Amino acid sequence: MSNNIKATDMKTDDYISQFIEREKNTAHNPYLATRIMAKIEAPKYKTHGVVQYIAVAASIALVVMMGMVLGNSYTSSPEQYAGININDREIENFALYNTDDNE
Amino acid sequence: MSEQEIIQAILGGDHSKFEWLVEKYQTMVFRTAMGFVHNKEDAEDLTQDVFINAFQSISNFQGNSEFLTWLYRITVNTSINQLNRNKHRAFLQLAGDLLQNLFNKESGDKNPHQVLEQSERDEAIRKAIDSLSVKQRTAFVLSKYDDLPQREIAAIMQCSEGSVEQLLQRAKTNLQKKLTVLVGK
Repeated sequence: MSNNIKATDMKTDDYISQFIEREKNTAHNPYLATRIMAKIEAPKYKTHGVVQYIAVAASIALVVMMGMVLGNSYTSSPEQYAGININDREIENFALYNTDDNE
Repeated sequence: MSEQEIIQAILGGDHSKFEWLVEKYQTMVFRTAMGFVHNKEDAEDLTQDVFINAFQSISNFQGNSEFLTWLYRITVNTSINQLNRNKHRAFLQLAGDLLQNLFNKESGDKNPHQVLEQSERDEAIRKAIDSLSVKQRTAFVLSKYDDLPQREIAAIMQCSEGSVEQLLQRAKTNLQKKLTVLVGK
């Protein structure tokens, strides 16, 4: 009975050892170190990104401000208006054609 | 250049020196991570996180312990945190790994039945290891995957050698209890 239990335990240990050996022999990506270093160096680029965001936001704000300033600085000149005179007498009276006599 | 000098250089702002540490310890960190997550891609992600954590907290390294011991501590803590985060997707991952094992594994001279049997056995072992308590699992991984002596495991886990021995013994008993069914197959 105890021999059976011992044999079972040994077999279980063998299976566990084989499983661990297989996992231990799994090779990692050869570029893992490069990938890690790229990630570590990344925050430097991230600060550039923040500066870029600030620059874009500032440009938009500047354009809007310039639009407002230019809009406010605009003054109209009276010479720009040209009057149009329409003589009513020259317009044909359409009512004439609606009368029954002319049908 | 000694390890201590390299660490001083990194602290002085020469970040490129950190690559030397990554090159030296990546395999060890990856192997430990494999013991916790049992998946190559996850272990690589975990290795990356460990080195980023180490880089960010290298100024806290006092030199009171070996750099390797300090790095092992970060590896274990990052792995445990990752496990806690990934608990909800453990089932999907196991199912995916089982299918991957079935279709992609180099079977050598094994027939499909033997391949399936091994995949099932591997899954059962993985589940049994994952079901160990955090302390038992940490001691087990450091002992079996990294072949560390009990003294070093005790230094990493900040406990006595006697406690490590007890943890390893309990881990072994628990695994045998859970896996006895397997042997009968």
